[in-house]
Amino acid sequence: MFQKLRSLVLKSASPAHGGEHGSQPHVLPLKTYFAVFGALLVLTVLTVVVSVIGLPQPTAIIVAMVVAAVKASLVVLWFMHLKYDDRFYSLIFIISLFFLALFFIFTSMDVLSRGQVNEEESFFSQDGIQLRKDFMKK
Amino acid sequence: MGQQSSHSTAAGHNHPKYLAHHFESMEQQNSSGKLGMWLFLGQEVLFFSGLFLMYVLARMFYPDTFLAAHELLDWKLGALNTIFLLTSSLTMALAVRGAQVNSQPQMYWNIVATIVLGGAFMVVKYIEYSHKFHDGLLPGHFFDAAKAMHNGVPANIPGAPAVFFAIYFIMTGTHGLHVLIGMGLMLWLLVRIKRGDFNSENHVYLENVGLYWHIVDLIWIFLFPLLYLVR
Repeated sequence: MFQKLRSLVLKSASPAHGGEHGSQPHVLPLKTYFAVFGALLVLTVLTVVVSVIGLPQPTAIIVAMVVAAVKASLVVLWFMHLKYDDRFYSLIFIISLFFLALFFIFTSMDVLSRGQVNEEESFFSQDGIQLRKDFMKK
Repeated sequence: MGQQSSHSTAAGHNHPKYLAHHFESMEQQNSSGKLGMWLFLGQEVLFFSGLFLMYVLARMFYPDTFLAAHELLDWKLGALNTIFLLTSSLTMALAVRGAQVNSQPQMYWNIVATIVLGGAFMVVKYIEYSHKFHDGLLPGHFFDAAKAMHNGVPANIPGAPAVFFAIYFIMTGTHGLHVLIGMGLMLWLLVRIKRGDFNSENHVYLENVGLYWHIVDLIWIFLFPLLYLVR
């Protein structure tokens, strides 16, 4: 039933590495795992270095998050085998990321625009409101 | 790898001995198990998204607090823990590979290494937490700036440092709980590996615990720069 559901959702139900069917898993060479691990360590050092040299604020957080996203992709694609596994699992994961984005965007839109509707309407302290005003001005 | 471990049932039909009767093939059984795990991981992403959103909003409202308060966290311990978790992800991936190539020792010792690294992570976390408790750097109204100052910690932070530490403890605490659960699951895996339950065609349990462990690593990959490296 899952096979049918899957082939309805996606035409290519078979894994990306070609028509290998059956329960035999796709075995990656050991050096692939060590290469991914090496890249993760290098990126960790990079995050720390970027923080220590102290980039100006919007840039620093963007760089840190991009590096973290690259690290996360390495883990998901190779350690979690999503690159070689059934595309249906990728779809589930991407859907969860989509709803995460939706959650972040809509909540931020609400919270950030609340002051425009009513100065008083805020569940944060007075200095919080002031800080938010300064934040919006930038 | 090609050999099928089959046995005859009373009914007379042949099937791999790990195959439950309500599945047609091992492939279907394994992919159903993994599908369930990925649905759970999707839930985990959404579960943690609430905590991350809390972080984003609090940081929008108290940017100065976050910049000042993160100085009270030791980024070196955070970096050490990042290395522990990344290495444990590697050993976990190698354990799954061990199952794929039918190697009991590779499965067993890589899981042992993963548990040890997870334990090392929790030890560092314990050291960090006990320092915070000692200095009164605690969430909400437990936050005690006077005690911290008395211990020589510059806790005279503008805005709401108690909010920062609430977020710190909730996020790292929830994450640490996940690490502990993962370690418990791996102890169970060790028992099953010893029992000879897993081989190249039947190891979806091992793989699923691996996926869970990687998502825990994934969350730490974002927590580390957000909490320890705010600058």
